[in-house]
Amino acid sequence: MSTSTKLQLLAIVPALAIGVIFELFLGHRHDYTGHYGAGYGASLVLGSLWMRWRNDRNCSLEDHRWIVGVVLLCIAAGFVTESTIFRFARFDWIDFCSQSLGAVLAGVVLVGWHSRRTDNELISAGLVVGVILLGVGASYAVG
Amino acid sequence: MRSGKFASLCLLLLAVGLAAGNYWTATHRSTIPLSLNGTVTKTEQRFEKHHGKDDVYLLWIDDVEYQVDRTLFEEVAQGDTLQKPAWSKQVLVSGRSVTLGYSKDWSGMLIAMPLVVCIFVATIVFSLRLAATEPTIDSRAAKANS
Repeated sequence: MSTSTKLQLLAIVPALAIGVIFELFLGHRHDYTGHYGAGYGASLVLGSLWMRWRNDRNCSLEDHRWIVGVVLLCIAAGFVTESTIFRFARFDWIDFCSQSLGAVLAGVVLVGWHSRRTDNELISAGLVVGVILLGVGASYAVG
Repeated sequence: MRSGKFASLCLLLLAVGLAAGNYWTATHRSTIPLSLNGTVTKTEQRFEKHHGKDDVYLLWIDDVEYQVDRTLFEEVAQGDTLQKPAWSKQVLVSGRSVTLGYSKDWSGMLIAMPLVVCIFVATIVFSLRLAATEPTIDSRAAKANS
């Protein structure tokens, strides 16, 4: 199996495994799985775009701090949306922690991808997987 | 690669904290870890997206708001007094003993969150190994130029 395929699978297999765990043990609350999936998808999309932006500017390959920064930004954005437009009955800490776990997993994927950031196929894969999981997650969260 | 290891460690700590946050929130809603001593000043059931599945149960004890599991919510009414020491499963509701239990959320989190952390550890190890073994496009270009 080529490294490129392994890197693409890195974005899919762990994300699906955690989704299956949520459904197996917390299946009575599909919205938890949905928040996790949406958090992962949205963060992978933003992280992939950020990686492209850094690549265009020839930023250092030795600096991974931006990944932690993007993850924290996504967690903060999730906190704001959960407190405002997605606040129905009350701010739900389990929704917030679940979507943030998705954001952190996207960060772990970006660490693996960082050394191959000029691989446009990889960035496209990140965008496609991210948009699909964001859509599936959103439909689980509110559907 | 030290920077990658440091970022991975930060992400792992975040994941452990968030998984613990999920577990603690479910535990807190059982009220079992809480010490309660006061009067229920208000009760309210709020509805989310799926009526009957994700309803939110709120109690105000001496005007302090608590989100609780349905079990306790159904046993109390406005004006009841609540008494329990921390970590006891018995609560006195206006002198009547009520047994508390953990919710399905709690038992699910108890198994799911450690498994999620294990997947994070495995993914980080795999991710760092891939990043370390595969030469970067930049380094390959430098080698080709030399």
